[in-house]
Amino acid sequence: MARYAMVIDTRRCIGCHSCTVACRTHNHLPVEMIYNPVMTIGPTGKFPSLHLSHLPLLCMHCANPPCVDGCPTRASQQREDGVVFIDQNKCISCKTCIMSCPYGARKANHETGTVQKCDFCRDRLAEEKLPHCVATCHQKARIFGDLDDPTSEVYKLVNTEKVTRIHEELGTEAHVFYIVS
Amino acid sequence: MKCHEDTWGWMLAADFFLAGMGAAALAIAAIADIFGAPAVPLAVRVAAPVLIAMGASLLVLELGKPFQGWRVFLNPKAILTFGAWNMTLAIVLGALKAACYFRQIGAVVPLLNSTGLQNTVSVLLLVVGLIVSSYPGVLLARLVARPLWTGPGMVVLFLLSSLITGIALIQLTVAFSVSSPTLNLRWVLLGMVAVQAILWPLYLFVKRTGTTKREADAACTWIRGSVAPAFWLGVFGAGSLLPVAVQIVAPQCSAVAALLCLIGGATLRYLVVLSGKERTWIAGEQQYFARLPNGDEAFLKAWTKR
Repeated sequence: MARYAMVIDTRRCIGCHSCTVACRTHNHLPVEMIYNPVMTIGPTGKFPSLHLSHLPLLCMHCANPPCVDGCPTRASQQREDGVVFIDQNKCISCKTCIMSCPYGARKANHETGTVQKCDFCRDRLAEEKLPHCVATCHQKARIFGDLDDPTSEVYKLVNTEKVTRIHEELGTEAHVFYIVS
Repeated sequence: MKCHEDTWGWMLAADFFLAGMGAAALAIAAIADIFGAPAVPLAVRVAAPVLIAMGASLLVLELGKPFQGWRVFLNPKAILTFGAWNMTLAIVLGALKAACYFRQIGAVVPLLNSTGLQNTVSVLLLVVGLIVSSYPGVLLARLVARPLWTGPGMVVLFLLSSLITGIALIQLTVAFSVSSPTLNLRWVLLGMVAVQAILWPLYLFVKRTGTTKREADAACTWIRGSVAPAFWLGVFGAGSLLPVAVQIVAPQCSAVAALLCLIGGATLRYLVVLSGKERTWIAGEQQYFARLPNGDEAFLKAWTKR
């Protein structure tokens, strides 16, 4: 069984927000909902040594997802391949998962009365296609694949590059890895 | 339109307050019953399950799909499910216990007159009452993403606050009671409020100095930030110090002291739930969301009109 993960190379990200737009368009998200915002950090330093970087965020599809553990309706689930998703028929928007998530990845939809989040475009995964954000990134800053497959690019990057995870201290074991300069 | 993160609102705070107060009152009444102390006023026995039911109703109204609220009972591993079951048990057992005190009901259902049943219900109410009093603290303490809540301290503080409001409810009723001698917990209330007045500043001090930066920042909001005026004046002053002073200086005004405790308890719940808006932020996140529209911008209104 695959274990899906994403590597984001922040050295390549130019903050164009194409991934944000692609995700919102293809997933038909309400105007107030963003699954994968791109943060801008900086500019820091003093001229002429200025530094600006971008940090794309999304659901981290954690190995220990606090959102799944806390869900009272079992709407939040994790597949064997690691994809965390919400069964919209079971979700009642109690917001426990929103409060549990250290990454702000979950958003309440007031029209449907449910909570929504990135699910690595599992409809596309079923067709063996890449998530929209990955397919759109013209800088190849997002790399997606099977972390259990030694031939995959994510496996190689995670094991050869110096990668980091957000809020590693919380023990969630996020499966979105960042390569930072 | 609201692009910012949705968090729990005042209805959950009201649920924590009402259910905690009702459940603690049931637990105290159960202790009095088990150990043969003077009776708790009947009004408290009737009001307590009603208060828990009101809290549960607010919890349901907070949901995105209130008519599917029954789904919260489905995951035994979730703290919210555990709390929902215990709240339901507290309402049912509390109503059953109150029914035992009405002769008319006892005449229709003779089983309610059984001492064995009443004692069993009392023991169950003690357990369930304490669980409902403390479970919001457990729920919040497990949320590692919320720096002010995380850690076992919140469980103790919630249990203590629930017990204070529960006793305050009893004291308020006792003050207006004209019937036979009833349970008087004036000094117990005084002691607990004094302990609360010590524990909360200590909790904030530990968060401020002994833990991570994110927790220190959250504590600073309470110590001298945006939450500070409401905390120091509403919870620490009016809800803790003032009741102690009233009890000592004017013991005949115990109803006023009890009322102040209730105000302090309600304010505390609201502030604690409100502080859930403070997450452990990721670099650049606050600036990003600050730039997003709120929905009342002129260009959005014009766009919507089209």
